[in-house]
Order: sequence, then structure tokens, then C-alpha cells
Amino acid sequence: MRRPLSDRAFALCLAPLAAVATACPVLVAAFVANNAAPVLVAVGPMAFLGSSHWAPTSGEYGVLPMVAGTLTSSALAMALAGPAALAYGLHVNLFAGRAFATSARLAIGVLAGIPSVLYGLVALTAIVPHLVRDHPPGLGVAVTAVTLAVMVLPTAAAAVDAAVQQVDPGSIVAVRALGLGAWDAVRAVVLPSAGPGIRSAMLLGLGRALGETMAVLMLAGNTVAWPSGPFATFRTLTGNVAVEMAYATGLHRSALFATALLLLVLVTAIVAAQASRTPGAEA
Amino acid sequence: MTPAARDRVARVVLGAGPAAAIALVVGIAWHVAAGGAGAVDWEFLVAGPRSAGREGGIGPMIAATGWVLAIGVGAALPLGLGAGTWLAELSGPARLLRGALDVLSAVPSIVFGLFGMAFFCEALGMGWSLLSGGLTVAVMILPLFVRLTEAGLRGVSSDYRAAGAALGLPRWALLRRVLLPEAAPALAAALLLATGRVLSESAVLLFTAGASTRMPTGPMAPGRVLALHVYQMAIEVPGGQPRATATSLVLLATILVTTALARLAPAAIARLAR
Repeated sequence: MRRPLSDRAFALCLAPLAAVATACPVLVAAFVANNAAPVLVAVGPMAFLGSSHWAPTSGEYGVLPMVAGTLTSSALAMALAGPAALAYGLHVNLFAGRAFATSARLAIGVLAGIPSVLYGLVALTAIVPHLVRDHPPGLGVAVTAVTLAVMVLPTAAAAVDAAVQQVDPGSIVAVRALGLGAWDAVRAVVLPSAGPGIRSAMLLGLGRALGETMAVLMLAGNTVAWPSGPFATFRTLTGNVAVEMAYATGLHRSALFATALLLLVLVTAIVAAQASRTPGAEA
Repeated sequence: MTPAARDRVARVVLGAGPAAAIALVVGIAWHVAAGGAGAVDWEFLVAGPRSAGREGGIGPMIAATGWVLAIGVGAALPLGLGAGTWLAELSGPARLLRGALDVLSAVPSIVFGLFGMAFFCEALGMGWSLLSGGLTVAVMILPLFVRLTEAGLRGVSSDYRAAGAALGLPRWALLRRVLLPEAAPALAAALLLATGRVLSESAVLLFTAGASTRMPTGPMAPGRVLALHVYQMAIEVPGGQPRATATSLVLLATILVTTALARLAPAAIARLAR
């Protein structure tokens, strides 16, 4: 059956809007890549990724320490936030009373809405002063990772909550009907069937941690150095862009776009990993 | 251990997760309120900054935030409504668009900042301006807005669509007269959630709208949004932390009100419509 003309015209009006939305990430990638190209041609992608010397004034653009900084702080943050997010998702769905679950969900919603700079400021004024005396300047890996953990907690926790909610309630009732408890239901039913969703939630949190900029910028110390200890100052990929962009020109500027391109590649890989780990989740 | 004993242990151990979330919200809100409340008064909200912001107020930053919000939401609204409607009502699985939105929503804000600088500021010649900043923010909130629009429309009972089709109603008329009004509460919530996202953004605006503390004269002027002012006061201005905390308090209160409205608005709009 042919659709009436007005319906086809309607689709014809909306399709361009959908097309523009589809084109947005392509446009973002294209402009970042185009500006990154000069440095990748001049020094080569291997020197950019594989060298640990970042000295823009003498033409050295190696981002390895910043890659290590981003991966270390994000991994530490997820090591803290991951278990907390999992505990949250299981508790509010299977163990908590209604009032407690509602307040906890509200708290997660509020945490998710707090601006990045505000987390940075609170850490700077509440945690850093306690570290300054023994570990000047008080900035570095530990305080950054803890703050990042708080920031990615709501992202991961809400996604774990959603994954646990997807579990067939009938299976949980069936376990309970055998005289077993909620924890037995977690082990027998919830973790196996929500497993892919939980892993996806952790990847979502990780992606958020990798891309976080302002709070990290305020807490890392931003020295080009390896994240060698809990109180060592270091720099992330995002921080590298934010610190130097204001005065960068020429190849230096291009190297910062290349840093952004690297971030873009990292988060796209995570999105792809999520899509492949959650079959049927595309709804 | 009996199942009941195992559950008691699990309840306490797992309870640390949600308890931590509640404690963090209370702790952060208290810290910001205690540190900032003393400095916030009417003068602070309307006056311009003096002495690099250590004195005076945040009037120009509130104005700049308003501009970015209006431009960002204004640009994302038609695009998001259109694409969301297309996904909910017309398209097939639309894997390409969904994949594109997934990637877009994962892009770090600093990357959007560089994109906005290269595209809006330079390629399109808009310079460091509230317009550049607002449009970059629009690209950033687009995936959120599309997804919420789609979810809102999918939430409308399919009986309406069947009834519309049975009456021979054209689809755009069905959308305009039935589906959009029915989805209005969800769309209002989407608008408020997007507003919260824009208010908390700073990295995007660092290299697109600039950090000028002058009162913006129009969309082509540069301007410093509230979130960026918090960063500037905390890091770039020695002795600026008290004012950074006061600005944070204003920002946090605004975001909390927006979030609360996003939760309450759907029910209120649905009641008004009845």
C-alpha cells in the first residue's frame, strides 16, 4: 500500500534533521582530525604515541606520560567507583526499603547533575588542605582518582540499577520460593542475567573518567610526568589540551588536536565495546 | 549460614554503596553552602566583578550563562525534536543514527571545545563568542535531547496511532494534535534535563565563548559562564576560592531547582492538560 502524499512529505521534512544529527559526530571527528593532521604528518603517529618527551618549544610531541596519567587515574577511579556502583544497584533493587531506595536514587540523580568544576573545587578546598603539609602541593594521583571516582559513581550506578531492573522478577521470585534469600537470588539469577548490562555500566563509567577535564585539571597538578605515586603530580590527555590550548600555535596546536583525537578514538572504542557486549541492548 | 543470615550480611555490606551516595550529596551540599552562603546577596548576583572577581559580583556571568543556555537549547530543540520524532515514528532500526548518537554522547567535553573552536569560531568565522559557545553546547546536548524525545513519544500509547490510522488522519496531524501534546510532559522534562547539562558545562566554553568578565552586549560578544567562573576563581585568581565557592552555591542551587522541576514538571503539566 502506498502511503498518502502528506505522510511522505512529512518523512521528507524530518529525514534531513535526522541526517544532520547523524552527521554531527562525523563533523566533530573530521574537524579534530583535520587539525591534528599536521603534527601526525610531521613527527609521525608512532613518535606521537610512543615517545615520553613532550617539549613543544623544541618540537617534541610525545604523549605517553599523559596516556599513562589518563589510564592510571581512570583505572583507580573505577576500582573505587565500580564496586560501590554494583553494591548500589543490587542494594536498591533487592535489599533496601522503599524510602531508603528512593533517597539513594535521588542522591545518585543529584550527584550526576553536579558540575565538574564544583567537584574540583570541593576536593580543592576540603581534601587538598589536609594533604598540603605532608605532601606539597597536595595535588596528584590520589586526590584526582578519589574525586574522579565520586564523579563517575552516578553514571555507573544508574546504569547498574537499570541493568538489575531488567532482570526477570519471576526468576527472583522462583529462587525466593525455594526458601532461599535475596543474596542467593543475586548469585543464582541477578548477576548471571544482568552481567552484560553491569559490564556495560562499568565501561560507561570508564568512558566518563577518561574524558573528564575540569576537575582533573584542578587536581592533577598538570606537570608532564609519569603518575609514579599517590602524591605525584601528573597530567592527563584532557588536561594537556586544557592547559596549553590558550597559547598554542602551529604544530603545537596541532599536537593538542591530536591529543583530542586520541581521546575521541579511546571513547569510540569503548562505545564499540559496549555495543558488542550488550547484544539486543540497542533499543 | 542460613539464607536469612546471608541476607543480613549482604544488606549491610551492599548498603555501603547507596549510603556513600547519600553521604556524598549531603557532604558536598553542606560544604558549598557553609563556605558560600555568607557572600551571596542581591549585590553579588547583579554587580560586575571587581579586583579580578575577588570583590563585586557575578552579574555578567549570569547573563553569559543565560545567552549560552538560550542559544544552545534553542538550536538543539528543533534538531532534537525532529530527529527524535523520526526515530520514534518513521524510521526502522536506524542503526547509523543511533550509533552516531552513542558516540556523540561519549565524546569528552574538551573535545567538543576544540571542535567548536575549529568549526564555529574559525571555519564559520563566529570568533570567540556566546554564539559559538551556545552552538557547540547544542551539538553536545543533542544526543540526550534526541533520546529523551524518542522515549517521550514511545511512551504514548500505540492505541492513539491505531485510532489515528483508522480515521485516516495524516501522520503529521496525528503527531501535532495527539502525540506531541501527549508527550509534552516528557518533552518538558527533557528540556529541563538538557538545561542542567548546559549549566554545568565549562570545558566546552573555555575555547569557544572565552573568559571575558565584561557584561555581554549580544550573542557575538564573548562571555564567561558561571561554571567557568568557578574554575577561574579557584585556580587562576589567588585568593579567589571564597568567591568560587559562593558562585558554586548559586550554580548548584540553580541546577537543583532545574532537576527538581524536571521531576515535578511532567505530573504538573499532565494535570494542567486534563
